[in-house]
Amino acid sequence: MSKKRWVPEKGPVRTWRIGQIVQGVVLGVMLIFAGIGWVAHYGNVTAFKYQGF
Amino acid sequence: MNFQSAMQPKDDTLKPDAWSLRDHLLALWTGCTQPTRFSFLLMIVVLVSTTLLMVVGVTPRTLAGPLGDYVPRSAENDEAFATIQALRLADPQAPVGKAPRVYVIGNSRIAQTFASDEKLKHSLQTLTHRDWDVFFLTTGRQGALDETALAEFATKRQPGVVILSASFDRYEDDVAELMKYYRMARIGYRSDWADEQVRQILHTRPRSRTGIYLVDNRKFFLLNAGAASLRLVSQTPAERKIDAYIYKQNAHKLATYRATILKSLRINYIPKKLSVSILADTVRRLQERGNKVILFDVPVSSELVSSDADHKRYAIHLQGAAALSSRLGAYYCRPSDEAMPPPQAYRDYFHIADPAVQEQMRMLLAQCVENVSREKGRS
Repeated sequence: MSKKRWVPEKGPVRTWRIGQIVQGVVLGVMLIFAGIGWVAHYGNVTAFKYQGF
Repeated sequence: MNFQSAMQPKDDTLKPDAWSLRDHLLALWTGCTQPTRFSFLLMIVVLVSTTLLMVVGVTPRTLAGPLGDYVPRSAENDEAFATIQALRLADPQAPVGKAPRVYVIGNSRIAQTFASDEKLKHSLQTLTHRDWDVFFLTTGRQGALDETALAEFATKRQPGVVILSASFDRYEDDVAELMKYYRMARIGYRSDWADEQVRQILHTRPRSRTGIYLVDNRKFFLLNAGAASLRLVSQTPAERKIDAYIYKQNAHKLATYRATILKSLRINYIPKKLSVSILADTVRRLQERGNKVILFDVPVSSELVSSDADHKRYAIHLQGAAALSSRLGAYYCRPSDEAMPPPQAYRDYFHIADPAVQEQMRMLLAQCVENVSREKGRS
């Protein structure tokens, strides 16, 4: 398995770089959502619930 | 294994010149999963730039645009619908229409009674043979200060006929209750009128302001940002349902509910001074802008006020509401005693559920709007 393992020096570096960009963007956006969720949770933000009156 | 040895012809993966899907997939996979300095820096850049983009980009102006379509989380997210509607009406770039306008601002009972902006518009056109623009800014259990905030923004650019609630349930708020709903920040913008009422009538300090939308309206943002992002990406805005307040309730819940409403009637059949002061202030501000105000009293089921004592209290409320409307220079509108909805039109004594009765109420309101819009010199 280790023989077949891909390293940047062996293959299409541009495709690998695209993967890196995808990784950075996805993690960055996920951190944004996590931050919003964290602040909402610890800020005790809850939606108003209509109870019929 | 180094690069040179990897270039040996025996290994298929070691031929950079030969295009191979497998190599590309492996490269992509490794790029996506392998932490590097570059990906970490990019993550930080994305984090910071997206945060800055939100702080700078999410403003009343942008929410008043097409972006606002995606803010309501669901069909019943009335606070978000009312917020976006009010921001659009207050937007300096919004076109000023030629048709006269009707702004319906109120709680679940008002929303449930008139049910639909399109249907109310149709009733107005049928009765008056003129075109009208109708805007619903209704929210469930609407606080008086939220009502003020919505009235301020809705009529900022173009005056019209403003419908407010005259029902006894609007008078039950004391300072603590009013501030509780004010601090809930259910409406997603800050209102000068509401803040002045908090300062001058409630003698309390308003919520702080920084001038940055995201900070001043952080609760609204935190509640709606996630769903709005997904709705934006998937291009699926929620469709509003205005008459969304009828719930199936079992006998026990219905009895509890009935007791709650009757308690409200017994406490508030004579309006509270504080609530009257806020209502008077809002009506005055609206009139100064050239609006005409209708106070609409949604009738309750006759089954609710079946005892003599409650019936008398309700009669006192109706007389008082008419007198108050007159004092404020507003037009009082309610069905005549002969035209009161039958008990079966309600499902919970309080909200009108029957579509035929809703249509009657729309025609009644249309008549009131026509009457008030023809009057001169009196609101």
